[in-house]
Amino acid sequence: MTQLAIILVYLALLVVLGIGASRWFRGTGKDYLLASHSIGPVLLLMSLFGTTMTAFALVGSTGKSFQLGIVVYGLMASSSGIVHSLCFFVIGVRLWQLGQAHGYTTQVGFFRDRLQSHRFGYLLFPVLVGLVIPYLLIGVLGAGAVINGVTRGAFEESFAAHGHGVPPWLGSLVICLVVLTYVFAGGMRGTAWANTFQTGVFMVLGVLTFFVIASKIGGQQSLWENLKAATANVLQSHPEKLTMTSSHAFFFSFLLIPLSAGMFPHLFQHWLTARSAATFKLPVILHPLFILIVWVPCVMVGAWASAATVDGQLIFPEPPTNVNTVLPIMVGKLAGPVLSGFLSAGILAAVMSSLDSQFLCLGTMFTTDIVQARGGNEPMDDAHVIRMARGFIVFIVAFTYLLSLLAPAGVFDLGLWCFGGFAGLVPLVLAALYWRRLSVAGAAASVIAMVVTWLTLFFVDMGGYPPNPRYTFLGMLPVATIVAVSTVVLVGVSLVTRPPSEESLARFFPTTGNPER
Amino acid sequence: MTNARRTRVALFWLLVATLVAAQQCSLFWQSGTAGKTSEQLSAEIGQGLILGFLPTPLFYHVCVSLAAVVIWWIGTIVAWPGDAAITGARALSEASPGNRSMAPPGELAGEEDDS
Repeated sequence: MTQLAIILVYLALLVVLGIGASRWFRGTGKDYLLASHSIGPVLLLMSLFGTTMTAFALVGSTGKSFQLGIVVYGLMASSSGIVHSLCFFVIGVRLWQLGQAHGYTTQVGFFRDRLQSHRFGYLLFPVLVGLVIPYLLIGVLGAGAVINGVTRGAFEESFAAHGHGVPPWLGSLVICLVVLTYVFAGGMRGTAWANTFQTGVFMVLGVLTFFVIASKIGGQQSLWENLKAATANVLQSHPEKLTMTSSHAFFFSFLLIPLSAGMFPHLFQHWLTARSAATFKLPVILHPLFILIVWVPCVMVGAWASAATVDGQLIFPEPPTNVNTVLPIMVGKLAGPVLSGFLSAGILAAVMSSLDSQFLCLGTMFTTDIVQARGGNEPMDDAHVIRMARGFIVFIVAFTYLLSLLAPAGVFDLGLWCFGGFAGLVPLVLAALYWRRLSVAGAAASVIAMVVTWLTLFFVDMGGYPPNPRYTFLGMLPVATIVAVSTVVLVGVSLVTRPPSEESLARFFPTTGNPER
Repeated sequence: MTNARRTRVALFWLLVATLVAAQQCSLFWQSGTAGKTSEQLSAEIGQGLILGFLPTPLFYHVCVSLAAVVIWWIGTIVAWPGDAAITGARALSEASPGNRSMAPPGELAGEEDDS
């Protein structure tokens, strides 16, 4: 019960923060959606990191490390440290410049302008929303699993089917409602504030979680002895979890997963909030360090969990049916109720700091790319725009929540599919920014090829939801095939179709040579 | 872009490529776990623990992450894309009519098939 009370107090704090941010709200759609381009380096660093570090990073990485061991760090974390910063550097800064120059608020707006095609927006919009839904699902499932994991045993007579803890469906529902409340109250400013606050909370509490777990996990006196004992236990029973073994092709395919950050719609929106291009420098430099700080403890805790004991009893005598609960169960077993409550709040902070950006972004995309785009030159008042945004957000969140009630999927495995889809769109954004020859037909064909490949692999070859954790195609993650197909189609179709006009290109390649070319 | 800057930028991207190669390097991967008993494997890994608890492959990837911090810091100094293009983009934007991204269907130049 103590854990539950602390979590509830933390959630109430967030709502207050969102309402506080609304006092600074300037009443315009631009302020609600882009915080009037006023976000500085520290806030940008925290909000970008908070947005990219989801339940996937905490709950998913620990669960996957429980299954596979420390190789998970090599597969996802060190690669993300390189590739995410690369995306900020190569895609983020350039898009921010073009956003400033031409006034974009969404990716669809950029692509419509760059490709001189309004219809392309109607093709890209549902694809982006379709990919955001599984991303939301990762957060919703993760939140439910965390609350259930740490409250197990809190209710003596109720919820027996859920270990006498808060059922995942209820935990997920409460988290969705809290995030909706502070996003609606504070808009992008409230989201940026909440993101910064929550990123700080989860990083501090994440490190604390590691030390608390590490100092008890081996049954020794000192922290150092416990670290050694925990590793020694794994060495005895599951030594393979302390190794890195993989085929080169499979390992390489993981390098493509973090590319997805280049096409996350919510990240695009965060990029546009930056005060200046120089604001990006701090996130570019420190992002790999922040990933290290979060992932090393999670991966180690996941590996240790496979052989961890409390009072001589294995914490996991059998692998749990839902690996998303490994981290919260470890926290619940090894920390006292008060600390366990705080630590859970930290984990939920990570989950919510992604959900909020995604919620807000969905609203922005719908109003800008569909409502305003269909409305033509008719002026729309800001209050109406914001109402429409909120309506669409509620619809998508409700849909995602209903999906979360189906059989639970491993957060990590679901993430790989979701990010694989976004990564398949990265050739498109790179070409739009750096390749003058990209044609609208090439872009459209690339998007369609990505969708067809994704659906074929997911539903036909693998067998559909929930994702099979062992599924590979040609010995690699499906992302490798998806990216290869979308790239080949993009280049091939662009080369054989009509190139864009020089007038249009001159607006996007102003410094790369003679605009008359 | 001057020749000196072009060289610095090229060297920086070479560093990034090296970093990616280092991340993919299998130098510290465990080879041939299939043929070994659990005890043999355990003894082999135990010899390579850093500080008595951190497996060598994980330590190696931690070093890759730290190297990424340094290399991206160098990139923000020698190859920062932030300042050059914006001036041109803004100038062209001011010359172009309105916010094109918000233009309604059919109003975008060259969009014959979209009306």
